Amino acid sequence: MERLSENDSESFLSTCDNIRKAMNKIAKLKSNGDANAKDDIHELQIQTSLAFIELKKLNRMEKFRTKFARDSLISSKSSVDSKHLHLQNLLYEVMHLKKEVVKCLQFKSKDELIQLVSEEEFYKEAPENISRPEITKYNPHQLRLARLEWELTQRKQLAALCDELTENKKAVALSIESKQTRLDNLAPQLHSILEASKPLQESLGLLLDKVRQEHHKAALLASPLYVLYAKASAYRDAYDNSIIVKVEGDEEEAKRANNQDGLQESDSDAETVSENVIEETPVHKKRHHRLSKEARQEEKKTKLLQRHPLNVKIIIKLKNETKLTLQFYYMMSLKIVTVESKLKTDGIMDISTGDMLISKSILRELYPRDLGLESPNPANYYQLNRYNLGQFSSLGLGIPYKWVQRMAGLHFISPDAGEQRFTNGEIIQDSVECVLREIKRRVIARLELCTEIRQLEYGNLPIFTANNDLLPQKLSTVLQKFSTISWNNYCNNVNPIFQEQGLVSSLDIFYEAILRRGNYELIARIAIKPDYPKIAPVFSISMNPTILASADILRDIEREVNVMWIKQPTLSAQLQRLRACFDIYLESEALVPKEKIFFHSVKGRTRARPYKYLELGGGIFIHR
Amino acid sequence: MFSESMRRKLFYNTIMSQCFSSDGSCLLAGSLYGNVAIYEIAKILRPLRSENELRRPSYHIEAHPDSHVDSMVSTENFLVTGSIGEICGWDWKSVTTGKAERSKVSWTIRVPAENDSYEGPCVFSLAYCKVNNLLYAGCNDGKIYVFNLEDGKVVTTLEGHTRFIHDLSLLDCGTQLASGSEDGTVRLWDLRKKENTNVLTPHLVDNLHRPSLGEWIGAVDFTEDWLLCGGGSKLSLWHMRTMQPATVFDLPDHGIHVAKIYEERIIAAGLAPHVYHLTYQGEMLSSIPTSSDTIYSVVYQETPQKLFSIGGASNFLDICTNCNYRELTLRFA
Repeated sequence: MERLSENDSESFLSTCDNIRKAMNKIAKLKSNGDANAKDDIHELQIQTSLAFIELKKLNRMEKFRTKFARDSLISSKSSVDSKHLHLQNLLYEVMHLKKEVVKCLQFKSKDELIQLVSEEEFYKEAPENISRPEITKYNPHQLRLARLEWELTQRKQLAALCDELTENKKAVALSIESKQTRLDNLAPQLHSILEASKPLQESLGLLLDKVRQEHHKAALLASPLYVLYAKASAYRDAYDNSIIVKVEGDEEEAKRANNQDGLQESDSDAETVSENVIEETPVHKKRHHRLSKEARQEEKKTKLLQRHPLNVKIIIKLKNETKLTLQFYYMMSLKIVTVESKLKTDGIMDISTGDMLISKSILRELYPRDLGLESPNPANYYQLNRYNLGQFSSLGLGIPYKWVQRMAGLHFISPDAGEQRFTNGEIIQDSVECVLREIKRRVIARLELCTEIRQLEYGNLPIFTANNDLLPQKLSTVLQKFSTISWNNYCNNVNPIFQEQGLVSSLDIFYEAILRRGNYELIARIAIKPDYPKIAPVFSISMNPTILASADILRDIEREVNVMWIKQPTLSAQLQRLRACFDIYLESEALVPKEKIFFHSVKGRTRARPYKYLELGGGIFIHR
Repeated sequence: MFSESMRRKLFYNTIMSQCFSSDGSCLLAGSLYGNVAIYEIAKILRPLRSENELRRPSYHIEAHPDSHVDSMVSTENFLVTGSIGEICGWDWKSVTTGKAERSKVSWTIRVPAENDSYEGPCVFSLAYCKVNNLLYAGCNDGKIYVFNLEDGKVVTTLEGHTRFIHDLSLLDCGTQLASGSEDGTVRLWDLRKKENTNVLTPHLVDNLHRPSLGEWIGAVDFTEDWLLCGGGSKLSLWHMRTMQPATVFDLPDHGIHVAKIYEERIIAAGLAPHVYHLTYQGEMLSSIPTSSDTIYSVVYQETPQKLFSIGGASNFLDICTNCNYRELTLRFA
């Protein structure tokens, strides 16, 4: 076996070679036919046979070697197989472990969801034994653990605190309850005391109970009216006991209205929506719907114009029997306050003054430009328009003067910026006190005006005592007639420029005075302002055509009567001056004999007349 | 916003006199209530921002409280206003600047008064001569006082009229003066000799006299050749050499307060709500409607801006930039 295969192969080759050579020699020898060759041949044959044996041996060797090689191959193969298997096992194990690692990495711990205090805060607040900075500073995991631990301790503390507080609360509630029961028990006792005190109150003449009832009723008022009531009764108590302030109306209804009030406001939007829906319904249903719609419209209209069931009544007593009653109403949907007023005079009404004393005109323009024709709440314009209700004044719901809103503490934006500025300056007067005083002043002024006009209608002019504006007493012109005229009549006879310039308006009260001297006649058309005597009446004059007075002459006289006063004049004072001016004009034109003392009939480029009166000697007239 | 009584007062306002500032940049108007309104011409001619905005004066001066600004005239350095008993001078510098509201009188001349009168002497008309710095003042005692503006002393008194003077007119060179008076006469004065040279009495001329309106002469103006006058009598143009009326103007007026000769045309106004532009022959060139029913003052200037301003018995001034129509309206206050 030690033999090498290479040697064997060589020996095989050489053996084969030997055989071939021997064969060839044999062949040669045989072909030679040489006898001695037989030996040689024989020799050769032996050798060849030996060679064959050699070959055979080689062959066996070969076989043996092959077998051996095969065996060794098989054994090595099996070892390879087992190694391979082992490898695969290991690989599988690796993979599995890797998977486990990923799974671990992906695991979501609950602690991540917990909000922790920031690190700095943690180090600041947590005790050493929890924070352990020497470890946690370099080990984030330990840090996290430490922080979580701190969180836990804190939460535990808070939970404990919470429990404690709940306990406290319970205790307090308990004590409140016990006190409440005690109070509840007190009420019937108080009632019985009150009942018992009633006979005493009556016998002593105290009005405590009545006042209380009134106050109870006042509590049911709509809030603006309540403000008004409170302010007015305060004014009564403080200044003027003659004023009566009370609440009128149905209490029960007021309670109901107050309860509804909240609901109404919330569903108003829903209402509009449903209304729109109805409008979109198909045509064949229309008839049915129209009826209901009209009814609903009507209902809504009444709802819009609904007054609060309670109202505040203020009665102002003036002299004698003259009383002014003001009734204030609150419009629940329009959110404004209106007033109705009634003046009761001691029976001195007659036709010409009647108009002047009716409530509508008496409070008109109590403050400049406060006519009360339209609602001061700008939103009302749209609300009323939606139901085609027209102007507020036509609804007969009382008059929404601006001062009434101010009394009730309501403030609306005025559409006119100029007016806004105007009223702002007036804000100081924004109190019940001033308004009531103003009303009193106005009514007294009106009554005085009535007396004055009655005197004028009888042709009497009062005697003027000297004040700032001197007036002559001895005059020849007489007041022939003084009578009321209508706005239309006024417009037809007076230069429209008066109206254009805003000097007169349809709300003024108009009179016509006819002055006469001899054949000469002067007609004055007078517009008395609602705020008389704060604002003087406006005179517009004309003369009968025989006088031939130019526009300038009339303008001069009007200026004299309307403007040239130091203090606002009274109607009679103006008439008196007008008489004087007419006298002077006629005398300066030499149309009548001269009776007055003046130096020159005309002066200056305007050829003005001497209308100014001076009390010198018997009284003289000079030019301005 | 004015108060009710203020509105009423302004409604009856009358603009008595007007003049232009010496540099022509401002128009001034004096009222019955003693105020002077100052308009900057450049400002009022600017277009308005909104339709119903009205042009107002830049400043107001309370020149003569409780009195009238009866007459105004402009000198080189001063605005001169005439009122009851006094003539006041106002420095242009303060009047035409923002300080106008607080401006003080620069000087005052007291007009000599008659002792027995309750009413002070009023200066109804003023005329100023640049050449010799003399101021002529026509007063209600019928006298024309001539003041030297250097020292404010009376130089001469021209006497002759028996009633107050309505209007004065001066020839450019300062040699001749014409005056119209309530007594119905027009007098011509030679200023060098200081004497009355001619007296015209229009009311004695038949076709000039209007008995219902009176004899007074409200306005007078003249050139070397022609003299224009009118008042209660009709407006008439007189030839200077013959002293005879050459043209009689038939206008629908009730008295003449303004008569001017301007560039070969005649401007007249008075108790009628129009200003009339006429030729010498009496043809009507234009008739401009005005805000006032009676006109007391028409002033005009050529440079720097051609402008006519009309004032009278209303709170408004009417402004024309040509001779044919009204351009705009100014509020006095």
